[in-house]
Amino acid sequence: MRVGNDKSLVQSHQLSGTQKRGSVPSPDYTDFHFNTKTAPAMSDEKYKTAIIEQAKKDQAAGKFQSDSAGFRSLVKSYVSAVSPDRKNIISQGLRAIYKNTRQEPKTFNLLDYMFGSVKYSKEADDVSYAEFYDSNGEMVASFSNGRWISYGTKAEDARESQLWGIYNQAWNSAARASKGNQGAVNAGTSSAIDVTG
Amino acid sequence: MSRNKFLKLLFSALLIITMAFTATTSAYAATGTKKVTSSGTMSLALKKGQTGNSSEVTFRVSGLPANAVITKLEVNPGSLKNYSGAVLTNYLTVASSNRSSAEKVTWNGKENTTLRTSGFLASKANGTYTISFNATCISGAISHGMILDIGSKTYSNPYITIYWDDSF
Repeated sequence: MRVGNDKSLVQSHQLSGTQKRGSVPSPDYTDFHFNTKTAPAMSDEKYKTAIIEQAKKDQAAGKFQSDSAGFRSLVKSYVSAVSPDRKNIISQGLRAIYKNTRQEPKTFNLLDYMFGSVKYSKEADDVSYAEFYDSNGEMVASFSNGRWISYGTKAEDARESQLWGIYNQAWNSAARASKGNQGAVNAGTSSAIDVTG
Repeated sequence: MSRNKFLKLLFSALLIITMAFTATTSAYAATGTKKVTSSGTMSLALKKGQTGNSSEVTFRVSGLPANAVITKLEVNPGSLKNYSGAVLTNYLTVASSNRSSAEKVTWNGKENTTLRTSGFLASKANGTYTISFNATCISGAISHGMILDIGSKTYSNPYITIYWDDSF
């Protein structure tokens, strides 16, 4: 059953891509809010350097964290290295749902498949609700009211927090250094005034 | 001392105090809390046996220092405005424009309770936050002595409280 409140649905991020399986659009895996497992773009040591450099660049530009497109892209790349394979979990889960010709008007049963398990309700070909779990039993996504939500796993949450820690420290150090430089310039200016005065 | 002279002196003193205070607050790191309320509601209607997510409530947080980060984020899901049938609340979902995924927070549906999140610590405080709840309809509403196939639940006046720090 669909839940009414069109206003909030319009305002919310749909996170849906253009592809569809049955009545369900596939999530948009390029979106900042929907990660799937990808190979890391660099070593963790190089990521750390990249995060620090991004923080310095953002501080100089007057941006902080998600204000910056570079930061969002770095978060996606860094976190996706430990993300579950949501793309396969969801696509194989939907395949299992549609393969099951039995109607599931109730959402109580879990259907297991190779990449995880899914709990769902389906009437005719309409999947009104689905919860997707990885092989560790962690819920990684849900689909309801035509909308996808990606839930962070413990590994993803820990990695994103780690990134915020490195970034915040570098950003604040850059801000302090910038303030120090500004102070030195001001001091230089006032002593020049003293001399000429 | 004439009245005018006294007023001039008083004004100068106030100006100096104001300037000193401004300089102090901008030179040192700050912490604080911000409560953001919403007049929106989280509601859902489900057929018996079905699970689903409610509509969302959005909170826009602004006006904090640009580099303020969250040290604690609490959610009060609000009051149970109305319900019909037996609709069992499973959990609350909290999402932010600053975090790549949503957090599932344990909640049994009790109204006006404080729920604490754990996944937002050190993320940017200014931004957009959304909450919704997940529930299962165990039994439909009773109307004119008949059990209907549908149950519903609505929470109103939810709010979030952000504890922030800009010296992290």
